[in-house]
Amino acid sequence: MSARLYLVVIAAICAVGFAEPARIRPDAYLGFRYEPGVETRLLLAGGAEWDFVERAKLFGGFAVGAIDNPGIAHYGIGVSAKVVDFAKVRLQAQVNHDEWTSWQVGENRIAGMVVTEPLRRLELGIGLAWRAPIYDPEQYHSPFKWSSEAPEWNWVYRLDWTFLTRDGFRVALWLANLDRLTIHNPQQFPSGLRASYAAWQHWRLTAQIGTAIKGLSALLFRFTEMDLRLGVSGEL
Amino acid sequence: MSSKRLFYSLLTLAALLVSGCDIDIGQFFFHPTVEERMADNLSGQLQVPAPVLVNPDSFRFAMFGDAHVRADRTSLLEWFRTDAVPKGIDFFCVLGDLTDEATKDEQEIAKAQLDSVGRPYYCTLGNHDLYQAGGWEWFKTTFGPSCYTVVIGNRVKLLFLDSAEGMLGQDQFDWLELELGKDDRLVKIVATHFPLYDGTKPIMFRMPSTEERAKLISLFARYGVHSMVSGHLHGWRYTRINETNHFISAMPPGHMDYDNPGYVLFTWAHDSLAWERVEYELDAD
Repeated sequence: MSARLYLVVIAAICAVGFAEPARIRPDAYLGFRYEPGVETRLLLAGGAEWDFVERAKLFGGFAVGAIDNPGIAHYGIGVSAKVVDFAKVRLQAQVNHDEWTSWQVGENRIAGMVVTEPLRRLELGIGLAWRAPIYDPEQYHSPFKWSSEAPEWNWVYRLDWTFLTRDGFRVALWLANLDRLTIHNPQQFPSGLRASYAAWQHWRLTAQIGTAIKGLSALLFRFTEMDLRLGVSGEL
Repeated sequence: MSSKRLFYSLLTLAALLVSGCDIDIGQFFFHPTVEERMADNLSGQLQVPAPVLVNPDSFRFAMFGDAHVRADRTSLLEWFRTDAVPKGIDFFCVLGDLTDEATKDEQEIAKAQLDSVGRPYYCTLGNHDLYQAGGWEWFKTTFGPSCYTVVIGNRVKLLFLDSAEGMLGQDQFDWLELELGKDDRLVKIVATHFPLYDGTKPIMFRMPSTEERAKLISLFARYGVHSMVSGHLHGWRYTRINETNHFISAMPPGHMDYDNPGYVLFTWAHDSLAWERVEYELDAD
């Protein structure tokens, strides 16, 4: 019921957005996440951003997993509004739900960020997320359960620099522990490369490779995660 | 500031930060990995500590992390000896960071101070114990594996995990699931350095991976783990997740982040396991 509600909201965003075709950016990707000993997961994800008014956009997404923890993996919705023209300062808020079906664990979270673009193609953001993991096997799938035995605040950040744009290619470096669907702990410094190519009018092929570290608080650093994504994104 | 100047400024800052200690900073990146340590642990070449003989109807033991024994002999192990031994402990467990910088002097003093408590003890590895090139070699030749099980009095099964880097790795996860699946009639306690949860504040003294924590908590629920005891955070924390008690109980000699140093005292009596927190009063100094 709960996942369906999110889907309805996301579908409504898409539907209204398609009614105003100049203002929607749909995307989809096939992802592969590998964390040795912990999880090997295929993800099929989709979503959209919609500039519903001049200074604000809605965004949402949904992902299902396979191999480990098959079924619903992530879904979430958010809003972003430009508040200052100088350096394109935006406020962003999002609410998310994650599930690991085999482990019967879920997480609900709400995150807020201040995002700015001080230089062209360089985006910086910082904020806080409230995370409420759900370890109750009866309730882990509920996006409305916000009481948790082990809740926590997390710093969230984003650095995204598109350093190459040429002949339809765009290549970016990123360092971010929060995206539209997932979160990492801040001490993991998730980072990687993202590239896209304007393959068709209004549509780009996209690819992303990412990793993250463990052991910052131990001062024994290891790269221990691989995240690959291949997909398409539209600028309609 | 030019990028060259910024680089040299950062380099100078880093040099200043590490100049006051004996840590081999090369170990930050080139330490023996958990996979390499697990290969040693599962090789059959290391001597697994023997179970302590206890009265199976009544026994006591203490658990704590982060002794952080220093070369100047600073530690709280002498206080522990005078406090815990009269309480009748049969043995105790030290959950990593036996030493502060893993120098040879610290290693020798830590071993001598642990022996001087006068009770059998079990150890596992912490990140500080790997801060010198020979850290793992010393640990495994002195104490045996960093990942093993011990059954006490046919009542309690202690599962020691090696989380010195804040992760378990494939081999240790496989081993853990196998061991949790055995001995259903025993009370199971997981003992390791890194905790799974360290409170609501945005700090970083717990296992970093969300998925790794979720998987462990799921395994603990499935196999009915009674308690997980850890250190790393220099403080005291108690959280109950599902039916599992999660303790952080550190006993470093210096600064504590939360509350006083101390240990968790477990008592087996009347066919059940009870626990209590024993604190070292910092003000007593």
